[in-house]
Amino acid sequence: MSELYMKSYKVLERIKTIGLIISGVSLFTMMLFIVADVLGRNFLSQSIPGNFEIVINYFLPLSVFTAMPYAYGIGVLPRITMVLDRFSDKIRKNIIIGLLLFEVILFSLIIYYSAIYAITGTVEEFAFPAGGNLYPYYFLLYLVPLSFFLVIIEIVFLIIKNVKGDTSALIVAEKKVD
Amino acid sequence: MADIVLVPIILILFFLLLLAGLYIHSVLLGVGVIGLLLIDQGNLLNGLLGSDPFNSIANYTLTTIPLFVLMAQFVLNAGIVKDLFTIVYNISIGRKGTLGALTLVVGGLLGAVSGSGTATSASMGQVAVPELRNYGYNQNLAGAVAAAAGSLSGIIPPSLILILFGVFSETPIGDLFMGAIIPGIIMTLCFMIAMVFLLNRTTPPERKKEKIKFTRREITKRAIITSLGASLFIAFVIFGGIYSGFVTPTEAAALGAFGGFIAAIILGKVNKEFMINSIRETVNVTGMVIIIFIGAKILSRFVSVSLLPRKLVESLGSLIEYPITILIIISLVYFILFMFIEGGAVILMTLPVLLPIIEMIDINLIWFGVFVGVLCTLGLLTPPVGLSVFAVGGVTRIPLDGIFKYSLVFAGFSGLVLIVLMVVFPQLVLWLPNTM
Amino acid sequence: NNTDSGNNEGEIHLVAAGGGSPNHGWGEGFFTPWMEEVTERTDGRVQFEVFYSGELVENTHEYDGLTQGLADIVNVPAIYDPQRFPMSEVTMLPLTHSDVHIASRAFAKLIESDVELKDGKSFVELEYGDNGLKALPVSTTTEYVISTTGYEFDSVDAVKSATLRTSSRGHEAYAQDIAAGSVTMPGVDMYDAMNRGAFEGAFYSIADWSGYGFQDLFKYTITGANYGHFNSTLGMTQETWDSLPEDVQEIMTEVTHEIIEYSANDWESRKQEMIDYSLENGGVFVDIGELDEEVQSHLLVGMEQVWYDFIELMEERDLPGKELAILWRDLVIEEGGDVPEDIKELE
Ligand code: NA
Ligand code: NA
Repeated sequence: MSELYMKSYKVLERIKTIGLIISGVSLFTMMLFIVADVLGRNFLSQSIPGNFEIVINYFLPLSVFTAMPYAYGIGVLPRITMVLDRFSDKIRKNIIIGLLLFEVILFSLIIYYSAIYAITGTVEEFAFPAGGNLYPYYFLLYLVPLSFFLVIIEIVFLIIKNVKGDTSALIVAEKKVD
Repeated sequence: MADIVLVPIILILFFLLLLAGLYIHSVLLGVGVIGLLLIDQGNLLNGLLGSDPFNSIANYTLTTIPLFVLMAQFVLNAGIVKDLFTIVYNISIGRKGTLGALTLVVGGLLGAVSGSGTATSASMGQVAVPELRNYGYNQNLAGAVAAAAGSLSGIIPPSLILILFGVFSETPIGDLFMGAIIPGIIMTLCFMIAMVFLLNRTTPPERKKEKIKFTRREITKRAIITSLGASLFIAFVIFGGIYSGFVTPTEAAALGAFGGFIAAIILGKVNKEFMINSIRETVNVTGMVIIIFIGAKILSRFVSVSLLPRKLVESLGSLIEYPITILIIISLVYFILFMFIEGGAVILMTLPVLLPIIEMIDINLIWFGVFVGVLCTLGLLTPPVGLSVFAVGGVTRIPLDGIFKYSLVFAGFSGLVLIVLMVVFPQLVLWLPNTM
Repeated sequence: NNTDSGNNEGEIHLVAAGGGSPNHGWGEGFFTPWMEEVTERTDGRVQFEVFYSGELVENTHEYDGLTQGLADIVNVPAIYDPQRFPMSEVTMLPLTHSDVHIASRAFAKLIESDVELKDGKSFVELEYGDNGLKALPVSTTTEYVISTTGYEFDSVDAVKSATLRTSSRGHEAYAQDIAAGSVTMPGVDMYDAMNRGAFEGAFYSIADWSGYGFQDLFKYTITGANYGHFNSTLGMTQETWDSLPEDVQEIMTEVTHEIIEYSANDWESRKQEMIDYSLENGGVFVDIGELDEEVQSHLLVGMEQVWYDFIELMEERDLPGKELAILWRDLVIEEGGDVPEDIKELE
């Protein structure tokens, strides 16, 4: 593949890695947060007010939506390739491109509608009540269109690779052998 | 569109996309979207695609998934599997049957600190296979024993499959965990019986009584205490904590992960690489579950709106009075799906359709969840897609078809025993949750 | 969105949805009979397609489901969404006397009240109308009371060292006012946590105990001090409502009033069933009047404070807190209920 292609893909990889880091940090903090709540409740009879609402509305979205583009990119998501493997590489290539275009359509729909939902949330200042207070969470709604957008970018790279490359490909960067 | 046309179109579309190699999450999402368009409900896409991805994820029980995966990663990357196996090795003092049986015991114990059969199988493959080979196991049987031992993590709580089932069906995770304990133990015993049988068949008669030259492996006291201590602590928090109500399943997961992390610190394993590896694996599994979850949610919306389950149950008519017939059909469908597709994905893709039926024919959801969990765990060992076998094959370079020859025996024998026992004695599942 | 998609000429087809279970008090006592009655009285002209238990819209996201066009008619448990429905919490204000009949009638009157609270707008206009919603009143729940797993409020210190699970901002404020500890946790996790003694009790409506099996857990309940009634409405977009023929609108309004009474009775009998069960199994119900005098006044002073807290909270958001509190107080008293002494003086 061309140098420009490789360079641009590097940028995407860096963004996905940032997502990975945010996800990891959020996950680790969530673990500590829940441990602190359990200890507080059992030894100081004082739990963190609104703990579970905070977990599900802040920590969880921050942990999972940031993880999705990364998981998509390395091709660990389940699929059945048994039938695909029986075709010649040329046919396989065309099928893969077809499937990728189909995914682009699906994810575009999600991006479009979830962006509308996020904007609605912003206008109405979505907030959840917890422990007597209102906590805004509308800004996290943007994680959905954002993460699916990154997935689409990944797909675009993959389409280019299949169109331009010599052989069919299911992922952009072949897994490094560890 | 009339149901008589709709159902075949949807089914054909589903299998066409699936077999074409489309990712499972996109199969679910795509069929859901196209289905809604076909029944002239495209106007619902705005509401469903807009808010479901976020709102269906903001779910307290779902939190247990990344936390239990994180826990397993800490435990596995801390080298606790290796330590436990070394302890077992030293106990076996050269008796090959004993080593095989203890390998399965370690698998069962690891099951209590890991939620994923695949991850544990990889570790078992690395650690146990060379030693089993040393003791004279042929390589395929050694691989199958490691795969079977690792697969136990799939059903012995905590179990990702049971969590997914619980989240989607709104069945309490604690009850599902408690319900899976006895079947998990029975499965371990079945594996042991299968192992002894296979070992006997593969060992030439003249070598049967042979004792292997045995030298004790070095292991520090600190490693023994920490590895055993951490495993027991985590198992205690998960079983005791949830059983007594001291913690919720989500809290048990957080405490367990924290315990695994502390153990890794004591064992001196925590460094940048440890953190990166643990987090990366956790993020992968989490990302996978979430994206499939979103797809399944959309599909289940289509299924609801289409009113197909209601109509299906109506048309099943008198068959409803024989739930066992429906159960047999469902088991067959699951058995086939688990042969080909990753377990969590199967759970998420089938529940939108099956749950309403299960509820209407009055099958206990806890029992059903554990039942599906058992089938799913055995699916880790069956060809052509058996993730536990893949994992062992991947780390040991043993050809897959060789391992499958034996792992299939493990799965077939245990499956037969467990299915019969669970159907005839549902109390094997329901007794423990009922004493909570 | 589906009002015009009926198969037969003139048939009105409405998609109804809710996050709650069909067996819940509201499902069985209100929504189901309400829809059956409307269908019958319109001679089958109005047909409902019902989705319970979050099948179509999730619990606490019903209003979104409505505006996004997922359903034509939903139950709106507005208290869960104080950001968009800030004033609905008024029914959670503590009362010294009331029951589900009193509260339901008062709530129906509140919805239908034309008393101008702010900018010439009534409660229903401010709270629902401004959200583009047509709201029909639904019976409230039975009163929220404090129940514990056996922990007794025999001294002020005992009250202060109790930890209670709260389910609204009013309860949270009240727990603070009486210096008790509070926890928040999902309903599904409460049983296990209380069972092993992680905390002592909760604010809960007795008729709702069976939802999570609390009838086996709560052994000590203080009656006579009531920490509000949860409310809900049947909501439609104004657009959907306006598209309905006038006689259908009339029938719906009429049925609503009849079912409120029916539903309140249903709640009452659910509550009595729980009380009977509990008494048989060693449960104790203590009237607040039977408590130690100091404990009584400690609990009552806290109740008044919640009213002032509520008014302040509303006024911080530029809402007519005091006017609303006074209106609710008057409606409750008019229907035979009572409020803390100081609140009667509120002008
Ligand atoms: Na496990
Ligand atoms: Na399989």
